Amino acid sequence: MIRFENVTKAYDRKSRPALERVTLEVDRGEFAFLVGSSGSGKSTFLKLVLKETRADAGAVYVAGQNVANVPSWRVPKFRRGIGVVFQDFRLLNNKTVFANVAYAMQVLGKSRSAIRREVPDVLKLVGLEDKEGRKPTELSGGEQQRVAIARAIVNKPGILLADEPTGNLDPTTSVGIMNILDRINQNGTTVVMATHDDDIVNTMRKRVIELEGGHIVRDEARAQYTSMIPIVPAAAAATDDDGAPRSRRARLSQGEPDPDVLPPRIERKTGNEVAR
Amino acid sequence: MRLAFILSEIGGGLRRNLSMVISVVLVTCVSLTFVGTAALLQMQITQMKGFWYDKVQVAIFLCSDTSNAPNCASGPATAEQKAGIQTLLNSAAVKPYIKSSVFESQADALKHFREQFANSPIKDTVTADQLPSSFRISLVDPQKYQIINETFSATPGVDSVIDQRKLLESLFTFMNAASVVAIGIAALMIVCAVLLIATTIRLSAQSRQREIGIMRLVGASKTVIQLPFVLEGVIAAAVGALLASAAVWAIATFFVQGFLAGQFKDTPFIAANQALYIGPLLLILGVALAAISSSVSLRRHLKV
Repeated sequence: MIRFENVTKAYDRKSRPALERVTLEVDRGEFAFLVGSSGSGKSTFLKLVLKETRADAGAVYVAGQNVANVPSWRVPKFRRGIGVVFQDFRLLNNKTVFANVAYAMQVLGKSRSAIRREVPDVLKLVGLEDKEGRKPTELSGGEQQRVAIARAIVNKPGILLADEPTGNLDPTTSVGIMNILDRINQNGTTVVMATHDDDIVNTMRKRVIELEGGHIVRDEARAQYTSMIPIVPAAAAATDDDGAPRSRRARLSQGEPDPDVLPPRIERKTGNEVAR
Repeated sequence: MRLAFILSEIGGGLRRNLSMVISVVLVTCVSLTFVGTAALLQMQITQMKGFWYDKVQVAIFLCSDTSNAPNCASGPATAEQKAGIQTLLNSAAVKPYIKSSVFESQADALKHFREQFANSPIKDTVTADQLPSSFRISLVDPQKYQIINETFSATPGVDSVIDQRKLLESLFTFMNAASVVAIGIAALMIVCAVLLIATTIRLSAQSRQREIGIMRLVGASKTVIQLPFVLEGVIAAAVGALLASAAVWAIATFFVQGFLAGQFKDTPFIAANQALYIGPLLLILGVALAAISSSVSLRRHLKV
């Protein structure tokens, strides 16, 4: 469904490329997590899939089509096959929940009867059937994200991209969102989700693609993820009895230092300075 | 459905930056009113030229008791002198240039004078022998006045040769200058209008970044995204153009027909309904300007 062949993307010549010779394939109906620290290239990956930006080298195939060959006037139609969900929901606060979801159909010129038929179904799928008339400002964060998901899938795209959809939500709400994404995935939609949240990755046990500095450093099915820096000496001690690394949240609760307090990119940045 | 959606987007956009939209309407209205006024002036000039050039003639005034030109030293023109002029008019050298010629006697001159100054007390103080008799000549080509002048100005019994067109020429020059000024002001105002429309559309697009982002993500076509913005500018400009047409029509009706025509009774003025032809032109001009400036603005500020 999504195939990257030796894809390199640099935003400007001087700095390190955001993605470098990345090759990977996500099959139809698959659920993949895209993990890695900020700046590892997750967002660039999603942008390349959406043809928001162009690859400098290599080829990106989406639904069997090389995106480089999609002419600019065809890009809107191309994007109708992809739903996107963001960390900050991006809802229209002056419209009701129903109108927000209907908006995605209206701009494509769908008939009023189709909208009246399909929007309630989608809202039911995300569990908001009784909140149709509310404004986003009257909803909780989790509910707002569900509206955003409903809007992303109302036109039945084959692919759903989620860019840290649980980034602004508490753990319990996040679980609800993940259940919805899982249900969407089971209906046949390919889901690619970029995230930092190790708890979620570890509970879902799906394919994990880990990026670091623009390279794929790990690609495992039914895998786990720990966002801590591997060279922390305490890491050895911080394993559970079964050998799996404990989640960051668990470590934090035991009073260990939060690795995120030290920005993980510092090391790399100095490296860059030297290189320049 | 898509049409309804675009219309509702336009309505929302117009409501959201109402003050900018009003200023676009006003600036377009003022600039196009100037364009319309210049057009009215030109129509008026054409009308007057057509009217006067047919009537206006070259007049060959004969010597009378009161004339003091050197040619008239021997007193009023005699009958032979008059006949000599008549012969010259019919000669092969001059004839081809003349459409028609009429002799106006002193009595005729008095009659015309009295008609012309019917409202003035001066008409009763003038007698026939104070007015010169004259040949009134219509030329085939009014530009060839010089030939008549050269032929007749030295002929005995001729006081002077006058091209009446010369008298009107200065009036037309003045009116042309006025219309050039109007066009100049209109051009400046149109620049303002174009820039203002471009700015308004840019602001409108920026205030709807979020909607635009969502439309792009769900795959709305370029037309659906851009059309509401372009139409917003076009509608504002069209309203301005309609107001300008109304203003031009009002100028033609109330100022030209209502006031000027009453003041200058024997001048042909343009009719109010002639101003109606200007309306559609202003509308087309306004809409075209808005469409061009808003699409240029969108191309620069709205990535699709």
